[in-house]
Amino acid sequence: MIKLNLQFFAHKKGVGSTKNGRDSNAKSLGAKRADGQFVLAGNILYTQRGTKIHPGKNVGRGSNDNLFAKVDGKVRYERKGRDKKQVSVYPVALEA
Amino acid sequence: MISVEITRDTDGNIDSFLVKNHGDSYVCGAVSMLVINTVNSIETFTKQGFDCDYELDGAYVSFALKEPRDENAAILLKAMHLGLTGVREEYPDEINMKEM
Repeated sequence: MIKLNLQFFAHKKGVGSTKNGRDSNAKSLGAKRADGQFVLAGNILYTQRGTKIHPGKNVGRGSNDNLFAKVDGKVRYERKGRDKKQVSVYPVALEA
Repeated sequence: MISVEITRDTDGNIDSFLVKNHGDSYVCGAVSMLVINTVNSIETFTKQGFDCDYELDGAYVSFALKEPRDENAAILLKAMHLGLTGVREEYPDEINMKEM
């Protein structure tokens, strides 16, 4: 018996499987802590590829470009130069 | 363009056919149904011996009756031919039929 495939005589996109149809898992990049939020040292503040946001005071940048707090304190997203942004963490007592 | 080649025996009954190539979705669906269902029906409902070779990727079905002939198989093949002829009349650009 032949399997009743209605696409038997259909135009094929090329013998074999189609070329597209693959995608990587969503990485949900972006801000993980909001401005003014209290964070602990080591908390990840921002996940990114490249430096959309630059590391400011008391913030480190990991090998995968993620930004993390170096000290406990409050998060501040600030302007950096003309068109760049940075994120800093200010220990609560010393906040300017 | 789907091409259909049909050969007949001395009595004018269909004794083999070759359907090949690709067509657009609705025409290929109709032709796929007619051809595959005819082959499956002959296998299921008649005692007719036949040789059948097909390939999905290459998109062809070749079919040939063996002796002795079963009258029911002849009727099923006539019905398939009727259907294919109807498709060709409606979609002449999509299907080409040759009687050898």
